[in-house]
Amino acid sequence: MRYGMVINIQRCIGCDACTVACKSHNGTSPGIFWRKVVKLESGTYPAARYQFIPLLCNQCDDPACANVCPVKATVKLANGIVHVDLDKCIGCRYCMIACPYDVRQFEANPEAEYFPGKGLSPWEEIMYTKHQAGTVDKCNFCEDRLAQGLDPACVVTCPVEAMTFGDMDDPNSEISKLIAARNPQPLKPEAGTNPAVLYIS
Amino acid sequence: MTTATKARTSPVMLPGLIGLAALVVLGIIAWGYQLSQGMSVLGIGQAVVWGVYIAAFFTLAGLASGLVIIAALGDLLDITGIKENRRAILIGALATYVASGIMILMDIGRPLRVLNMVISSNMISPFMWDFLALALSVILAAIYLFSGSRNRWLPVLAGFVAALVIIMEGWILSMSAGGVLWRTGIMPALFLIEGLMAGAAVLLIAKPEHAATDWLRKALMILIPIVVLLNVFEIATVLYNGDPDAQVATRLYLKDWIFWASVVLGIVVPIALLLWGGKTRTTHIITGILVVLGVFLAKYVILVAGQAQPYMLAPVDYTPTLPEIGGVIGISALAGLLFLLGLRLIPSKES
Repeated sequence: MRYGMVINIQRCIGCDACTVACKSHNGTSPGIFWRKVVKLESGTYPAARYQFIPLLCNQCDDPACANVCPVKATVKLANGIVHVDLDKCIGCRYCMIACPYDVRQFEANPEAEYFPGKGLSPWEEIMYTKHQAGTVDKCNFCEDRLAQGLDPACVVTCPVEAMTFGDMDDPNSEISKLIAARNPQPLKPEAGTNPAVLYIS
Repeated sequence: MTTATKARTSPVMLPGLIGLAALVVLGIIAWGYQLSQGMSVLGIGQAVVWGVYIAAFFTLAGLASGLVIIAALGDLLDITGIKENRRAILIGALATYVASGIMILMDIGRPLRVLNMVISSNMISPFMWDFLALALSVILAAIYLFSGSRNRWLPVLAGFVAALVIIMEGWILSMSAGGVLWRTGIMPALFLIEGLMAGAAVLLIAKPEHAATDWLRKALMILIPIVVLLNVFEIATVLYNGDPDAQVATRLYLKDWIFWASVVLGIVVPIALLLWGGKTRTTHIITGILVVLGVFLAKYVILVAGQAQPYMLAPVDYTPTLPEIGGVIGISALAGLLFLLGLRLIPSKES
């Protein structure tokens, strides 16, 4: 089994609903984005256009982050997810340096309030227990939702169904059929990490 | 050396110790503030995750290794003024290695978990290679310090492992898939030359005998142009035929005023002083300080600029905060303090 995601950039409208769904589900603190939508401008008026590129952990088959981690805090699971063991992480941030996709996030202060001076909300109090100060964390395809048979929060939130998620090793899965039909490509293939997040552009 | 002997009896030793100790206390306060408030008090963020602490670590570890290599060369090439001062040079190297290790502890988010480096080692990580090389270099430098050059293989081995420390640091960056500016085989070579430059510069400041001064001046006159050439080769190659991301990163690098400060302060002025500044004590002190400062700035700018991501296409946003600056000053002072204490406390067992 290898979980993967295909993102159709032609469909993405840059609404950031996935960004908000991710933050809400994972309870990340202010300034931390396990996924984000990069907005690129190209061309000049009147032929200028926006291009939206959702970025998240690419769950690489040969993850540069796991290779450089000095303490094996980042490991590749059998289901393809690149998992971070927060209890092992020493916070050296070498994985962030090594990641070609700039998607790992350093939790400098995971107890920061969204509304400074107002104290933590009940939701923040619950969710912040999942994070550890001084460690690096990232998207894990919502492992907790997958355990319940649910797709990642970003996938189910997208209003234009720009993302297709599933098992890339199953030839009958929707994602495998989409890969066969549309030949989506990874970002920065020259990095040699063989990502499980592919893009239709 | 004269440096060792003088340091034991010098009337300026005590004020020097007190001044350095005060700066070390400043560093401890800065680190304490960082530990109590969290790493959000540092200038690092999600874009630039390695800042001035890592630049200082690279500089200090490079300097320490450069000192070990020069001490080894002094014995192997029979360089007057270097071999006689082996003890002081190696004490300086050990003091600087210790300081560089503490610098890394200050940089990591979970310093109490550093033992995971031992109990859960990932041997394919360049970070781990550097950790092992540094630990081995400290051990070899200490053995070299206490046993002298009776065994001719010892300076060879100590110098080789010290060189490996610097090479590993270059590899930490050049083997990183994320840094388009660093993915070049020149990085380890550049770091190696800069480490030797820093070592030679510090020794020039330390007022060795005349013969050693001449050797160090010649060494700098050779090493500085090599650094220039390596940079020119790399930049010209990337700008002419590099991949687009590397070209963007290189242009950002060249636009950074700190890059040009490192060129002027660490290359142009020192070369001018070496050529036309005479052989006065003042010239040597200024040259040495500028070379070390230039090496530090060069490491800082290539480290920070190299973290520009192609998706952002914007200058990286990083300014060191007061706790970071205090920490770097404190750790640098710690190297000096340990050096002076080492000169006084470590018995001389020269062969």
